[in-house]
Amino acid sequence: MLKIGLGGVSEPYLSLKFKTGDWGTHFPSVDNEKCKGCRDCEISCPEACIEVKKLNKKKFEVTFDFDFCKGCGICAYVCREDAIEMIVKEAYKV
Amino acid sequence: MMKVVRGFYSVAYSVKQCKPDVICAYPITPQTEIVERLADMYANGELGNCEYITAESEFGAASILVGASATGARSFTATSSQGLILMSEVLLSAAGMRLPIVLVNANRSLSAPLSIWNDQQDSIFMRDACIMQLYIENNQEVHDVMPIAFKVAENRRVMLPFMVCMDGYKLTHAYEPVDLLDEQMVDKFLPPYDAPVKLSVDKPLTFGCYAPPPYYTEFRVAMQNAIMGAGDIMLKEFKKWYKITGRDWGGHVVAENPDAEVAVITMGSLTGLVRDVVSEMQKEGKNVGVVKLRTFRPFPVEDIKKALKNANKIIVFERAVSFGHEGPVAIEIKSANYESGADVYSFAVGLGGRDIPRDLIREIIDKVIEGKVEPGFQFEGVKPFEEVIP
Repeated sequence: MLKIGLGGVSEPYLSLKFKTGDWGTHFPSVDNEKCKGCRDCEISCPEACIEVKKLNKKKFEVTFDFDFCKGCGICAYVCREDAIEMIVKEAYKV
Repeated sequence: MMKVVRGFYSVAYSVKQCKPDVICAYPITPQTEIVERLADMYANGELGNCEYITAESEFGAASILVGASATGARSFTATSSQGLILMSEVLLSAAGMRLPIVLVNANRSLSAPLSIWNDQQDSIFMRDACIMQLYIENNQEVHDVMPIAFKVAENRRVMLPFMVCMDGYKLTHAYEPVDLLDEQMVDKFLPPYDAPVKLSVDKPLTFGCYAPPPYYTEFRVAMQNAIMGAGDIMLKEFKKWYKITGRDWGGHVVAENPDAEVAVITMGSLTGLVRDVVSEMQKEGKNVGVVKLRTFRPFPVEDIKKALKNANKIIVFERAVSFGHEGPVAIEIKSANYESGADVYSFAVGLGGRDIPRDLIREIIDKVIEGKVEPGFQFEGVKPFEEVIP
């Protein structure tokens, strides 16, 4: 049987439990070879789901949290090395 | 303790005895002095742990009360006319969130044209909001009704806002002897509010969550069930109150002469005057009776049927208009009393505070008895006028 809370009271959906990664139409893809580690993408991401790790003096690794990335493309736009490319998800290809 | 007080103080003193936790209001004529008196009491430390918050608007006041009520606080506000309309968005949500906020509405006409005087258009406008509405005849009644309002609203099977509607000026500004309630007696009748769900910092909750089409209807059905069930709960509390105080204000409907063939229905402070006129006519041998409608929401269909079972002509004195149709009380009476087939004569009187003279009431009732008017809706006491372009 359907159970409804009095007055529409419910425990809030914590954002950690509520994944939004499937909302977007695009996803970012990075070429780590081009990355110079400026971290523009990291600080520009509105969902804070980019992490830039320093591997050694010249090598950086960029990782995305696809549970929350909505594919806005800001990271690709701000990247001065053109290391990030936005790719259309399979389902949205026409 | 019998005292001669104004309507404002009658409400404020009764609310004080109900021990509210949060009072939040914004001043509006003719309600202002209710919250002014409560603010006095707060400043004098008479309200205990109560929080008195001055809001920046009625919208703010209602919003603060929604928050307060969600944390399990007994909350109260008073408003009027445009203030009630400004509150309406929040109050509709409060009803859906099942928050038992109690408010007093000092009935005043709605703009435009701007008028600060009394009619019942404002609370009638809130008819479909799932807020209980009780109309008051005098200042002792409003004094007695406040604890009942809190008790019914906070009943676990109801959990809905309760609006006590008293005529602005006619009651609020009037001096009347009122038997002020005793603290211990109210404490015994009205236990502290024990909320079924409480919002707190440690337990974040969403109130009135998003309900997509597969679930929305069920929430609305639950609201309808709650307000329909509130009728019986109100009657029980009215009876309990009568036992405690010895003052019987009747049920949802008070049929003062149930055998009468011509029933005159009124709501609010007009009842006293109509009762006077009708008893005069009864002495002349006319078969007329007064039916006082107290509860407007939930609408007491069965009680109305019972009160009007002998009537073949029903006169309704309206203090509001459902523009584009007719008098709002007559609409309800017709739908409730459909099977009896009695003629309903509805008269809009005293809009925007216009005086309702005794002679006008007498004239209207005489006109109906003598069959000089057709059943239906009309305005009474209107001056001849012409609309011109200024």
